[in-house]
Amino acid sequence: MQQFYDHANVIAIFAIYAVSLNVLLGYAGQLSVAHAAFGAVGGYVAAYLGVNHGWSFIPGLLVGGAAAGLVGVLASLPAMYLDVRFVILLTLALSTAIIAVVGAIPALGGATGLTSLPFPTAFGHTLATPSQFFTFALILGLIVLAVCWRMVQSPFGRVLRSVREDEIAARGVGKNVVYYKVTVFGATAAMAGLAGVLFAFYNASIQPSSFDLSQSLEIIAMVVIGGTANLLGSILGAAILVLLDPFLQDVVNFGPNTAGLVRLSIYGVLIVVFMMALPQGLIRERWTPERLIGWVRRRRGAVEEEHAEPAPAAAGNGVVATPDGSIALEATGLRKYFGGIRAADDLSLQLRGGQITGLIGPNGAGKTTVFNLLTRVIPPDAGTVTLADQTVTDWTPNRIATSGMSRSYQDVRVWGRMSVLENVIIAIPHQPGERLFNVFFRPLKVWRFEREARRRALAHLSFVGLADKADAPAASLPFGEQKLLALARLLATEADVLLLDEPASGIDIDGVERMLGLIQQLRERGKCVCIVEHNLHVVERLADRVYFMEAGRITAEGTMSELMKQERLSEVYFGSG
Amino acid sequence: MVVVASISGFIQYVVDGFINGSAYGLVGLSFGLIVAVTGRFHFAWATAYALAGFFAAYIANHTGLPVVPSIIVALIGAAVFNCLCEVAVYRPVQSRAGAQALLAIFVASFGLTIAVPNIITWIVGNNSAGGETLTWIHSHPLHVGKVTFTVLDVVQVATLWACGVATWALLRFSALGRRIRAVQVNPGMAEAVGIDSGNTYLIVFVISAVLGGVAALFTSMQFTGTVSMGLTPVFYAFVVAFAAGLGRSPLRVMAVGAAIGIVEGASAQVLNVQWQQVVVFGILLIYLVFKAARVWRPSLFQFRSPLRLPVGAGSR
Amino acid sequence: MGAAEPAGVGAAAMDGGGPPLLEVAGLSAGYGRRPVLFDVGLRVSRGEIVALFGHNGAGKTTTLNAIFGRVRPTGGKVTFGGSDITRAKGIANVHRGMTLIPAEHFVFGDLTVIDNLRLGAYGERGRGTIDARMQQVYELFPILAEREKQLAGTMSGGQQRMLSIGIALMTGPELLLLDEPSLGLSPALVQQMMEAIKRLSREQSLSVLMVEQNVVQTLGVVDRAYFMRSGRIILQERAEELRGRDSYWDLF
Repeated sequence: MQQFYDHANVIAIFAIYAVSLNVLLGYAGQLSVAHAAFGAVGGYVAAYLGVNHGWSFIPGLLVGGAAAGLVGVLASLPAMYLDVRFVILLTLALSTAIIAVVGAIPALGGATGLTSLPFPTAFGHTLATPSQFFTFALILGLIVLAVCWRMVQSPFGRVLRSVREDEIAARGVGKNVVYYKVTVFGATAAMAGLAGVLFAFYNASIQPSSFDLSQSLEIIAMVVIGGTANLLGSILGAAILVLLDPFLQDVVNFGPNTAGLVRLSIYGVLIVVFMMALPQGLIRERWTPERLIGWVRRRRGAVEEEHAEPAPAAAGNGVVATPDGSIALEATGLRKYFGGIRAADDLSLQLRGGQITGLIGPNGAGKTTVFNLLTRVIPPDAGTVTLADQTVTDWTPNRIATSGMSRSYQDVRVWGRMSVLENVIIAIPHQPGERLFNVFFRPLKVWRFEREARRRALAHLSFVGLADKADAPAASLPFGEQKLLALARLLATEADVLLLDEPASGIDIDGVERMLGLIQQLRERGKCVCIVEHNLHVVERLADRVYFMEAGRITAEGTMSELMKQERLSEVYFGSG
Repeated sequence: MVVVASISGFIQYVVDGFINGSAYGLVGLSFGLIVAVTGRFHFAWATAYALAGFFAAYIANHTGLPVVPSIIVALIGAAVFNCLCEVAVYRPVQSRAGAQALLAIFVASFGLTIAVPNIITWIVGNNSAGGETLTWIHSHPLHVGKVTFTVLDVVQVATLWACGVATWALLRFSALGRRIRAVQVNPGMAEAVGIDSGNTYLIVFVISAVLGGVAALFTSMQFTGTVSMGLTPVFYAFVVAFAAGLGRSPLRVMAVGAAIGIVEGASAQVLNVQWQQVVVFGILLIYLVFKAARVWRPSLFQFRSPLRLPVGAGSR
Repeated sequence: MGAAEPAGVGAAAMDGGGPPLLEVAGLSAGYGRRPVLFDVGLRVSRGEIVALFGHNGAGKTTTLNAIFGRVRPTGGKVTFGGSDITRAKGIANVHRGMTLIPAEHFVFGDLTVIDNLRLGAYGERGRGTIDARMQQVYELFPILAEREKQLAGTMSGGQQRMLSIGIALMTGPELLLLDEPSLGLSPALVQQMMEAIKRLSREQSLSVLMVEQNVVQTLGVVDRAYFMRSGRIILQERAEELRGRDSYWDLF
């Protein structure tokens, strides 16, 4: 029986590792190979305090976790500015450095580590036997699971998933990506620290080798095998890999030497086979209990009350900041040189509320650069951008996106693995549920706003005509509908200045008609719309005014018919004879 | 912790560091070639390295085959292993994994690194797997002033650098080298001129196995060859490959490896043995933090203007 | 004014005469779940220069990619020199005598000019043939001879464009697929390049299918042109008729 509890304890410890890593890896998309190393930080801090300063178990546990969390936050800061390959390298170096450091500090016992850790005690009980330890480990594991679950189900977790899939689009709807990444790194590192403490005290000793790179890689394997972005899957993955060893030992009956070898060989082969057969893991992301319940309900024909028609107040979303006709956005003297290329050269334009402005020009004229400069995705070398009386030239892209101006992308950039509704809800600004503090300590406030956010998002979806597909994964929509989804997402930001990058490209005639109708409705509501388009038919039908760009400068403006009469423009656009 | 020593003691450390660094450079080149051209994080490189180093010794010691043929067989074995990884594992995983390909290949590679050495140990028995020494070039000590090294050290440095230079020449001057660089620099255009990227990947895996294998051979000669001898070198390979920059000239990679080796060696002057390990990864950490800082506040950390390549230049 | 022909069907009277080297019928293709081309048909005869015009996003590049084999067609047929190449991959088509130069990233930036050209002749064994082709390229674009040892990525946009055509010529093609060759070039350079293409075509009976936005300058060189919009061919006209038009705004 004790052997059952022994396995159970090890599974519990690794489940904590795996579940927390899954949040980092599967939900936030950060590939870290340092997870076990954070366990080392937690474990060593608690062990040191326990052995040398007589700290008792639970305070040591908490301090160990906090220390690991702190190291996680610090370590993640460089990762914010590095390409994903370098994040792997960074965590690799971090892992090795941590292990090397704990192995070198004399007070931590070097390669042999610390032994004779005191028995852990919890609320007066001594956890002397595996079964007693398991009670505690199980409770802690369930707490960690609950915390992780809450994190990923909350609006905070929703943003994590969007960052994972397309960080640029997440920034485009105003999310401060750095905050999310650093927070999730720190939180998951802290949980790994807790696992490390449990591990150390369960074995009553701690060595560097228990937390080295191969251990981190095994934890990754647990997550990947169980299914990334599925927390229950991680518990399954941990159980499988922990039990694999003893299972093979009982089944494989070679001599003691060869038994170990065969075990490890099969272990390795199984990992390879899993990756070849099921690289998405055993349990796919979408197979969550809620989905299952929803599926069961639908089969029974239950009414989906959540998706009742939203109130007709859909037309009134967002306050119009500028009355019709006045200038909503102004750019003056924008300049941007890339090496010798003048992407923008002393460029000035004005966008007015209640109007659609077109931006046309031959390829390479710099139209998308203009959008990038206005939304501050790239910093201008000179010039100013004013948004409804505020100078926003130096603001960060996500601040601009939450202050009244946002843009769509030529290549759409919807978050394919998330549902249509989720794509839109994320863009709703100022959600309390995006702060981790509120998620845990103000759940009522979060819940209430979430209902409101759902209502608003459905209103936007109705506007573009996608309300009936609210639960479908965004990737399943045909391209034309993805563009409509992107428009709904844009509207959800409640921006008054909308920059649309080629809204009509790549879709068929009917789709174009639908899109045009919607954009015209936006104008009627007083939005300020600017479109970059190559399809001159579309520009002709939509735009009240058109700017003509060539080689980074605006060389003409007027209505489309005025521009078409200018021979010079025809030359530039179609080439001179 | 500062250990006072004479100048010649310091030079000895530097020389030892340079000898090690020559190996770091070659393994960095061997590993970096794969990552630069194929994009795969071939962690099982460690196994290819071990196959070459271990089997060269094992075959020479346990079969009637003389040393040179043993070496050749071992290198071929390592090359075949690499190619099998690509064809039998990485390609199928990539076609199934979609967006997760990078991660899934990495994990699969890790699985291979666990499985294969253990399978080999099972086959050849624990004793052999624990260490076979390749006896070929002798370790006669040599002296220059107060600095000591061996004949084997000299041959090692000469051979490793020769390999580095040969790789540089191959890439720079030969048709095969052009083909490899073409696939690395602009796979789209490579297709446009009829180059088969898949076959090029295999060629690169073979070259990598040979380069890494040669480095492994010398470890088997100096110390012993074991089935897990690749686990430490693979980290140095990672560090050197990325610190030198993926896709850069082989000579630069060799130089970076030598530099890291020298710094690591020189640190023995002031650090205890346990802390030396930290040095290399400490360097890497500092490099990465610096790189991140450059992105965060470019004006503060810029040393030279980045080379701007105009519109048509291919880039990966 | 030439009347608009239905997409590529029954256009025998319109083409350059002689059997078509490249024939595309009913082609549909897309990326993943996104269909881009709908029932596209066109043809190119030996020695003909044909243009494919249309606004951005109309599907011109996808058409070239589908012909060359970078994108798998979901329907229709592509025939080249009599063989069915609908499912063929790019590399196989290069050996058949077709090559595609993309609109961006069209040289090997980190390699020298001469290495770029040598790569073009990658599949060719004959030393003599390789030298002869390189001579030809140098005659056509003398600036490349001057800058043989220069890294391709450090040359100007126009020079890189010329190099890209040089690379294509080194493959010894019968059909060149060019994606927006005039992109980013000054009108003078465009003129120079178009003239070079015309010379090549006349001297070597080289066929060219080029995707372009620059209608007027291209019209001086092409024999025929197709217009695309939203994934379909909407018009096919001979160059003379096109040149007679007042404006092209309604075609885009």
